[in-house]
Amino acid sequence: MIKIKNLNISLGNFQIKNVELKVKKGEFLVLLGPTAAGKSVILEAIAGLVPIKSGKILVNNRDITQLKPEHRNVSICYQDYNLFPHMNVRNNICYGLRFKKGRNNSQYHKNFKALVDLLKLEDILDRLPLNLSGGEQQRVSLARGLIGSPDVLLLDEPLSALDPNIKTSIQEELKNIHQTLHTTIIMVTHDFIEANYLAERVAIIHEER
Amino acid sequence: MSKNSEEDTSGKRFELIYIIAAITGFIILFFNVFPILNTFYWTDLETIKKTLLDREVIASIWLSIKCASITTIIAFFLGIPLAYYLARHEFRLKNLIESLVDIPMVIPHTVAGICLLTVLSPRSPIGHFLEANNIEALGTEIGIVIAMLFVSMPLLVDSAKDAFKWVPTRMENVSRSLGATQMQTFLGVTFILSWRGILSGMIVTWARAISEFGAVIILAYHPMIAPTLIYERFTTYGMKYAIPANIILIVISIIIFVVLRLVSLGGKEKHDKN
Repeated sequence: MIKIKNLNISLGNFQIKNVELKVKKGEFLVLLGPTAAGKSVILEAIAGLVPIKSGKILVNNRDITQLKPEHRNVSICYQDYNLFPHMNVRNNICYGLRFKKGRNNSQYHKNFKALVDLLKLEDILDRLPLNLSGGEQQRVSLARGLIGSPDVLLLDEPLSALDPNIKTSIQEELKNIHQTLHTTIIMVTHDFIEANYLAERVAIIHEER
Repeated sequence: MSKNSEEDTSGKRFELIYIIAAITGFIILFFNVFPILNTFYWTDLETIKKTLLDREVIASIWLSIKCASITTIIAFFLGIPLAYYLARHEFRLKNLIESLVDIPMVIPHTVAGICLLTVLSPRSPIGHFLEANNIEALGTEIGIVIAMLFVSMPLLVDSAKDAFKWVPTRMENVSRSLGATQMQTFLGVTFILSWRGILSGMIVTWARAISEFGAVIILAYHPMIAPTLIYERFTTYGMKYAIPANIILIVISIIIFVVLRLVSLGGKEKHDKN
């Protein structure tokens, strides 16, 4: 369960006020709203990547408000994939594992196999990101975000940079991932159809914030 | 339509701007290269061979290379953290700090040398502290490195800052969210992706340091770096004695510069291929 209580963010002239949000464990929530409404900033606040003015963020009853990003067990995937260009697909996916304390290698190995199968990455594991299509890059980005079994996966408009055919197939894969792994997902989009297809619940952010 | 009118003429068109670029480009290249090449006509191979056996010349060139290399290493360790911070943060005094970092680039170098001399002389607290601890800066290699560092540091900071800016902040965000600390992210992602830009900065820093003269002669006329020796030979004995050492320094500097550039470009090609 994720609870956001009275979250206030102030970044220069940009402000987000009094955000209240509850997401059930294993739920797929879509945060819908117009461009520049602050949806991505809310995601980055949950991940600990932007400073918050006040409020609380709880994940599974653990107060993570003051924790550094690396201690939150919250993964984020952006629309522009941000794969590490100097690592091949395999190393990109496994990147986060080296930082896991007391890591359970056999569990992560299972996760790796499951994600590679689920996202059909077997044939591209040794390739560098530069040689991948947009859809392939986004699938690698999802696998990388999921391999460490995060408490929440944050998706910042993951489909908006893809062409329509690929978009549909990644949409289906996202749904499939959620149904298989039951990871709690918060996804940001401005596309109502996308939200309607993927979300179990939709939260709407107004321009007034 | 006649056959002639269907011919592709796109490759034959001359745009005025390209003609101007070609002329000005030639002027720049001539201006840069001709004086260097022309130096070779002022001496002969025999004199150069003799100069190569001149211990004073070799010692001064070695001292130049050594001090420029130490300067580059110090600039690297001092400059990289600041460059990274400036590339990643917006704050109120940022413009001021960036200007202060770049100040040595606009100060005439003899003036810079005198400024440094006021700091290192025993009358200043820093100079007094050095003297009390038996550290001699003036007239030693320490003084040479300080002078070189002062004038070349901005080049490294600026190059590294630009290189860091090319790595998207979001890529670092992803790394942090996957469990890497800021330092692990810096070392494992940002620095690796910026190394070519940083290496270019180090090459320019080294080149600037080895060519420094004005600030160095104020702080340390002796021991003599190559530019000081060449200056001394020129003022004492004239062109004939200055040019052979001049040529040797040019050749060594160009060889080192080209090798480092090739290393840097080799990395770029490998990176682009990947």
